[in-house]
Amino acid sequence: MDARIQKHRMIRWLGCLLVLLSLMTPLVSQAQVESVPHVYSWCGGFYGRGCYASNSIPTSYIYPTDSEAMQADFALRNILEPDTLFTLISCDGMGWCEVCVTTLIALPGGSPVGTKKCSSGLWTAKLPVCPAPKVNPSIPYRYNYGNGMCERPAQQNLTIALSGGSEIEPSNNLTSTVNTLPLIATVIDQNTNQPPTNPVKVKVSLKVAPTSGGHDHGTSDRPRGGIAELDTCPSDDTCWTSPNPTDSGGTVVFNFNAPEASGTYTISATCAECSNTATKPVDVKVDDLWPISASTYYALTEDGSSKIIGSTTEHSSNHYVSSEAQLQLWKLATDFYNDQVRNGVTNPTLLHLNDASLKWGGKFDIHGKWNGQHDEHRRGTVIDVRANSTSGAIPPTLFENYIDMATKLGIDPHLEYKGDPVRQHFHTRLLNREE
Amino acid sequence: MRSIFSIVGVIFVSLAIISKAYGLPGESIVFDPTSGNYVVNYLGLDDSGDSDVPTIPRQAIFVPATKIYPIVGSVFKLRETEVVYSYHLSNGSNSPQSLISFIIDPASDIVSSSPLPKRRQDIAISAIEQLDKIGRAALSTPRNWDGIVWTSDAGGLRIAWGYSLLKTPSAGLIAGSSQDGFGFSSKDIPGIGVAQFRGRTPVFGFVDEGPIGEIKNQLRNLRQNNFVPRNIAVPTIAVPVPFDAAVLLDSIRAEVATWPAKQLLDPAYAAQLDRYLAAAADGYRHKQTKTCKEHAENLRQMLAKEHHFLDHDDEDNEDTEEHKRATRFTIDRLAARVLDFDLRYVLNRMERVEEEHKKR
Repeated sequence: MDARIQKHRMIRWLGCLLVLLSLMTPLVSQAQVESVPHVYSWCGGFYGRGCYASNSIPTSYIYPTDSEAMQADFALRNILEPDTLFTLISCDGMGWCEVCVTTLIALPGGSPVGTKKCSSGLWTAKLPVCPAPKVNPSIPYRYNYGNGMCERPAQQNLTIALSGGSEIEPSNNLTSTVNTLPLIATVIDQNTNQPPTNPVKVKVSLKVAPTSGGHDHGTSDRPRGGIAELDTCPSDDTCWTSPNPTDSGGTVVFNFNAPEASGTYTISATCAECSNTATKPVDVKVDDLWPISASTYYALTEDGSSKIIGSTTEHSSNHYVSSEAQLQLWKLATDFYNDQVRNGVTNPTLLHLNDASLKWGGKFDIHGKWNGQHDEHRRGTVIDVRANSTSGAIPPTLFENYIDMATKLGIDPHLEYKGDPVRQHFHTRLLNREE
Repeated sequence: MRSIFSIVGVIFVSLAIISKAYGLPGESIVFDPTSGNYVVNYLGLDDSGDSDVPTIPRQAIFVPATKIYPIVGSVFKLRETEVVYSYHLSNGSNSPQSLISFIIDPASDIVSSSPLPKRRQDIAISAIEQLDKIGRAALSTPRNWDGIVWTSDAGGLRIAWGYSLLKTPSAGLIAGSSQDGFGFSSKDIPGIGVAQFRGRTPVFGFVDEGPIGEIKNQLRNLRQNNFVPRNIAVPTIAVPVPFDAAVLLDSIRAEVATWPAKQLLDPAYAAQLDRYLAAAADGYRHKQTKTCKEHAENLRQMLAKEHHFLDHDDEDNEDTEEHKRATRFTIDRLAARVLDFDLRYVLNRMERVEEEHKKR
């Protein structure tokens, strides 16, 4: 093969190579880089050396990046004093690092040989640092000596949003009824306005407003319901992480399992790569509950007092009923009163009304412990009517009349704490339903 | 009468067995055949509020209000355009309890000085007392009884009478006694309704807040069915205004269609009745009033073959010996009386419409 042919082939090879390179160049340039300017921050340094190094030592370390890495980095850049060891104590993620230095030589200025912490001020310097990324902080910026910028591979700029209903009825453990509210977490890459290229898992947490829903005794650790397959979330921390990452639409669907107690609950969702946390307040409540209307046929307060019957520090408002139940109650009280009048009673007994339901219904934990009896006072359809030996109670001689009046109206009463001189009352199902 | 108690007892014992099967260990509802009462053994919650798990053994005695044997007679007569309904009530001579409650629920409507609302949501609290007066005035109520009209959960009206002097030991309709004078008028023609009767019982209660779970459900079933049911004639079928025989016949047909399930009507016989009712309605719809009338009369003749004296409106539904001899089992006698009355009502109104046309 002569030289001409060889030269020709070489030219063709080079031509192909050029074509390939020209094709690859755009691909290389498409490898996106996230670039941010460095910032100045007080950081661990060392007396004297820190100053001359200040323009060339970007400290992108984030605790607990091990100190050996810093050591190696400094050594690589030939700025390490021989026989001097730097130890990174901690960084706050924003460039502020606490560094210890151990040196075997005397430093300028007569500083003592040995170990010093830079928190003394003597050992600190304001250095250019790469800021800690807000998105994907586990992937730090690295200082680019070529352009003086802090860079890392371009990240997805993910944001999360929560959608779904904002109200649900309380659950009822006694009837094994768990009311669930479907919610949708949607993750979007803000750079592309599309679902994330790499699907992410969603983390959900649950908080409760302590004294919401008619409970005056609440604390932040009150029962707060659960998420998905979890019946309950024990704390404000992340309660549930989606077992599967976001689907092709960037969504994760999950249920909020309502607790028994009414209140305002806040559901939060985020993901490891998300730049935000989405929150959604949800009211767990029974709708259409209203304060019992004042009437001359029944008493809502103790005789001669403004104290609400049955009001406690745990539940100051205990007189909420549904509209339909209110009508039944009024009718029952009217009939009971007028029946006494028709039968010649000169001083008719007014019904003295104790617990109905809380403002938003749900579990009426009479002792303020989120458990225990009173389980039918959930939906504003049941009321306790005083029938003991205290003032205003239905006298035993009228018990049958009360039951008769109630039965005529389709109301179902029975005694609770029967025989107890203080607690006996007529548990009265105004709509003949146990709820 | 004993057989009825036995049947009721069997039902309740069955419930008790079911409740035993599904209640917590140690919980049961047991029918006591000697007393006719139910012994409810259940686990109650302690009073601390610390737990939702019942652990404390409790007991309650439930005395059913079904130890009565009510016999009710329905009389319904047409007076002008209104039907007058009245009921005769007696309590069987062996009834352990006195009868204190008589409830009709639902009735479609009754005649009153102002229309009575049929749904609770149509009632304002401020109107309750006025409605109460209107309702009471619309009822015939015997002495010592108290009658009210209220809304029915089923839609329509709930009409309830209760004995008003419950302080007296012999309150109510004691065994072997009877009482007339319950009634009202209605523009609606009769169908068959179920009246609820209750006997006098001790006040029921629990020493705590009662059971939870399955025992509670079983007890609820007992208490919600704590009455003796009896079929009576009740305003059920609204008469269309302006009068339309076809529409009314369709309504009668719909009412009759419910009777086989209530065991008032043999299904095969029901099919025959239905064909005639449909044909009568179609005849009127196609302006063949003569055909319509013929079908209605044929129906009446069919009924007359099953029961005699159906058009004796002043009589009630008591099964006298004379009636029993003439009774066949294709259709309940009260049902036959009601249907015969309804057909006569249709024929009567058709006559009047025709007379009015002739006058014009």
